[in-house]
Amino acid sequence: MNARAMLTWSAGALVVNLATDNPVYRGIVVLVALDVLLVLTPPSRSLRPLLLAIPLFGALAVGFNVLLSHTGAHVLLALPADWPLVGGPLTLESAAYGLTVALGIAGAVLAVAPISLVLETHELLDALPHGLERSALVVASALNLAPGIGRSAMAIRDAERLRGWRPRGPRSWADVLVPTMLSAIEDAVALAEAMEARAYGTQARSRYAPGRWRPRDTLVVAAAFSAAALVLAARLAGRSLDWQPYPTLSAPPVDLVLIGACLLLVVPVVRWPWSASSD
Amino acid sequence: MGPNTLRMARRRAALGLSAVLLAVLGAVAPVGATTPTCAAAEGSQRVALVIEHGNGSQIVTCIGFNGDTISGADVLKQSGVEYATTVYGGLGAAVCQIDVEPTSYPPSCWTASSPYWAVFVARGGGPWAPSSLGISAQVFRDGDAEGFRYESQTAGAVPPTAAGRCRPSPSPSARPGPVPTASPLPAATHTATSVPTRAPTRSPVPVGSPAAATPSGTASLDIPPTGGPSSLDLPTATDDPARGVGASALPPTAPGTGSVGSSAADMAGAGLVVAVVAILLIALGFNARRRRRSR
Repeated sequence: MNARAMLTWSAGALVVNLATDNPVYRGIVVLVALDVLLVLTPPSRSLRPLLLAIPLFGALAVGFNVLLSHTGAHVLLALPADWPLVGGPLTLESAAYGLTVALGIAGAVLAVAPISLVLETHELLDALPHGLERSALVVASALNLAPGIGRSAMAIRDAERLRGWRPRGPRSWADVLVPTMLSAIEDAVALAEAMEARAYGTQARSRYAPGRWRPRDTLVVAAAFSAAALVLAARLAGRSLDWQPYPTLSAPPVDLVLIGACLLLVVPVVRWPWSASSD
Repeated sequence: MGPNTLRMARRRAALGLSAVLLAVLGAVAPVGATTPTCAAAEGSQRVALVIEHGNGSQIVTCIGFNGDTISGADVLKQSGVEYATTVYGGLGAAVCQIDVEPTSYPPSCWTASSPYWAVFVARGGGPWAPSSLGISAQVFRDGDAEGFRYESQTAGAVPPTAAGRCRPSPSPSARPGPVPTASPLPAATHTATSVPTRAPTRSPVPVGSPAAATPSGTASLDIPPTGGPSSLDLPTATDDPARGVGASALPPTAPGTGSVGSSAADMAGAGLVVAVVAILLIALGFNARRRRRSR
């Protein structure tokens, strides 16, 4: 899929997910985004860390809300009131709202996950407007240096320890930080020389394999725009997008148009008859 | 037929089903309820207030105010209708009692099974939506409406029957005579946070009957009952105690009709959600298995 179409899909999914706190719509966005990730992520890239982190953060969101929000009619458990912050009734309503928050976090993460899991770095750079290409390349290179600096710091610390260095408070860390900074500057200079040797900045960025725009990409962009526009229009028109479990738990309202808007996001994984030969 | 062909056929069938579902969803649009209108109140800006009691009787009025916004608590306060609130977490003030309903309530405002005052908001003459904030935190602008409905916890959030929208005041010559005033309401049981305001004047007007009379400077209000539209003129709620407060008590709406329709719609909506989630989960399982094989 073209990187620009993928970015538009991510933006559309993010808008739909964040424009409502109704767990039904958020749940559908989560399922659709998960489906898109499963289909479009290359097999060489693992989804396991993401799929482990999302339930963990979801559980944290539910737990925090249950412990810190004491409103709601259905009391599950009551902690002693003199316990700071967490003392008081723990309610079913706060758990339900925590679940909505968790779905929001999961939806937001899954909506932007394709940017790092599906797309290659060069595809992202190609997707940017020409005016931003050089700045983006510099930022991307700088971000790539960060893990290298970390590795360099660890290596310098180990080398210092072999020479008898022992950490004794913040001041002693200067023995590691100064060489780390020096090696980072050296790496940056080496990178700049390498880029200059490859004619960086002399002309427009060349492309090894320019991304193609297929009819399917047009459909994805149209679907993402339509989904976001439907949800925003519904909000502006005063339709009920929000849901509050307080003071007593009730079923979230469901609007068929909004469910349709959420389902529009499934377009990237639909295999169209004409796309079988082109993909 | 090889396994790949079979897989493709199954996939196409599933996708075709999804496409049909999408087309149906796109074609179906819920029909919005008609919104009644209520007439102008004093002040350059107006907010409609609808209070529906548990027995179905309604108090509908327009609140005039100056400035850009008014809080939900101020709308209720200016209406003169008796009410009591309690602070409920970070959501703002929760309404425990309006117009002496319920006559008493526990310190926590309601229990796990007791009826309660559900708060609704309509923006710019739009449909009712459940309020996500307490009335002290809810902000209204010109043309908005604040609704309260006393409902059981099992019924779900059903908005008030009438939706308010203020419209320009009728000419003085067109305004009918005075409204008969009801006796003052009894005092609230809990007065710690209640607002001892003026008892509203009440005009028991049968639905569909000719408009009741109001003094000059009042507002007219259309309230559609379950069966069809009706029109009645109501006094305006203002801060002027001498003029009283406009309110009307309507007879209960026809029982059952609204709730049966809405429960059927709820069931259909729930069934659709279950179907959509099931389809997505099946697709998810299918794609996860396919991905595992490809790795």
